[in-house]
Amino acid sequence: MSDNPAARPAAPVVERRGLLARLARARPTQPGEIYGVPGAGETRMLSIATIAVLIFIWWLSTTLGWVKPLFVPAPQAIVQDFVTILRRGYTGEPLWLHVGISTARVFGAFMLACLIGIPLGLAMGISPVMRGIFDPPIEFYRPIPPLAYLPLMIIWFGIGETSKVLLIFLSVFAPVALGARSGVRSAAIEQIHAAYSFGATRWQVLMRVILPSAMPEILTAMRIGIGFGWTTLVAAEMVAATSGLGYMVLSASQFLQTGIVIMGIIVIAAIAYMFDLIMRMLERRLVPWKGRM
Amino acid sequence: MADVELKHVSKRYAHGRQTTETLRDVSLRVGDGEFVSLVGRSGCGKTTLLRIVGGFVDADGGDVLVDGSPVTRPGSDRGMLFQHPMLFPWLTVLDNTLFGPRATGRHSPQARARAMELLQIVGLGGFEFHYPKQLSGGMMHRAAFARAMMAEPKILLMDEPFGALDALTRAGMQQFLLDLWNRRRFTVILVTHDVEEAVLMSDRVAVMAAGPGQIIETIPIDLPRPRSYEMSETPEFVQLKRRVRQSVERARGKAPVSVMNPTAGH
Repeated sequence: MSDNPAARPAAPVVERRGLLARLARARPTQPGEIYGVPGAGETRMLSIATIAVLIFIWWLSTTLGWVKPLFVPAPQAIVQDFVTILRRGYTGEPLWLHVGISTARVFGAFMLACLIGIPLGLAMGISPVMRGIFDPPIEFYRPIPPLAYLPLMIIWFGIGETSKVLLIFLSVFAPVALGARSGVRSAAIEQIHAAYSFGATRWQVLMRVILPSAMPEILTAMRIGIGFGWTTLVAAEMVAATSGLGYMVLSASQFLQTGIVIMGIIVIAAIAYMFDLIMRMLERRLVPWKGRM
Repeated sequence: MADVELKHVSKRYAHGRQTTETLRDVSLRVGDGEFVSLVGRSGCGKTTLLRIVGGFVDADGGDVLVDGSPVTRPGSDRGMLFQHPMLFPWLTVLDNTLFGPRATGRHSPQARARAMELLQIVGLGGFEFHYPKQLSGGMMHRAAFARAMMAEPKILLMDEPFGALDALTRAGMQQFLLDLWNRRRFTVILVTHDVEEAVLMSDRVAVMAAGPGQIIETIPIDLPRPRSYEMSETPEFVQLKRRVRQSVERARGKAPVSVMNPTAGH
């Protein structure tokens, strides 16, 4: 081999590329790979850029007067609304109370749905009797939009907290129970046989083999479930509520306070996103074997 | 130690109106500390037979005796190994090995020490706290092996345990199993479709035919022990291999005739 420097591969040239070029590159594969899994790669920069562009277009169209503030207020107006409500509250209640009561409703309903839904789903997965009994009612009500049975909830349980929490509960319950039920099938029959051959009892097989195998699917179902919970929140707070984020949005819309409506939506989205982040963290903590190691 | 005795075992599976006769009148005795292989093409019921001995599946007819008492359920006297290691992915290698002691309430510092020692023996020293995902295929099999041995089974039931491994790893695992068996002399029933593996490992090879599954011949393998891969080129080995292969061929030839031409009675 000659030691001619020209024969060596050229050192990577540090290119001064534009922002767009750098964003579009978005690293399609793992470093060192040329052909990776389709869809692999970093997306954060692109996502941030998308959000920035959307806000920019929003700002531009309001500043140039393309849309009336009644329909779409300027971003800075919404920040203004946010600050005002943060200081003075909305309809006499401070913002944190609205946030708190909504979170309590969604989270309470979610916890209840998990406490009942996960064991019931597991039971449905392992017992044909339980499946036979509970499958029809769950499958019957699952596709119905919560708004459709909201009136029934109110007739039966009044306009207090019960009907609100119950409505959210029902929307979370079905996905969680069905997730746990199908998670039961994640355990391989050989894994179960292996556990029996080590002297495990039926209960131990359930708790130490079937439950951990089902765990990833249960956590995914919980993530989907809490998403449904936030979706149903506004419906639950539509009737006779005097506090909560859903109530804030709805009553602001009646006074054409579009800024507060949008602000409320953003706050709901932010909290829901935070919940999702917490769920993902839980996923990483509880089922570390699922991800890449 | 323990022996296994199958007397006129039969098994049918129903699929709607149809029933498949998976096993017909299978009798086999596996002596204490004996290494017996079941060889046959897929669908001959060898896995079902193993599951019946394991206690996971009930036979429809006949008797299944382990140490003279009928098998009614799975037990830690019979260890199972499968084609795939079937480790629990949520447990570390050590915790996988300790699954049995924990389930049966026999977990103790001694059990832990024994698990560490077993992992050392199977060559997984230093990998005790790894998760199965972090191991290679052969390592997972060895971990599964350590886990099975942890229960100190008197009988080891293996269902094509090395079938999914590459040739080099397979040879290593076979040698490993031979060495371990030489030292401990537990009773083994090995299901395989690899004739060479069956001859190399076993004291006897039972050849099975399909449709319905039955044992058509039991061939004694009177090669000296301890055995190793070098033997596979000796004339005796080659001859035995040929004999088993011919028997498997006969079994194969037999089955389609009885399926396609069931009235042929001469």
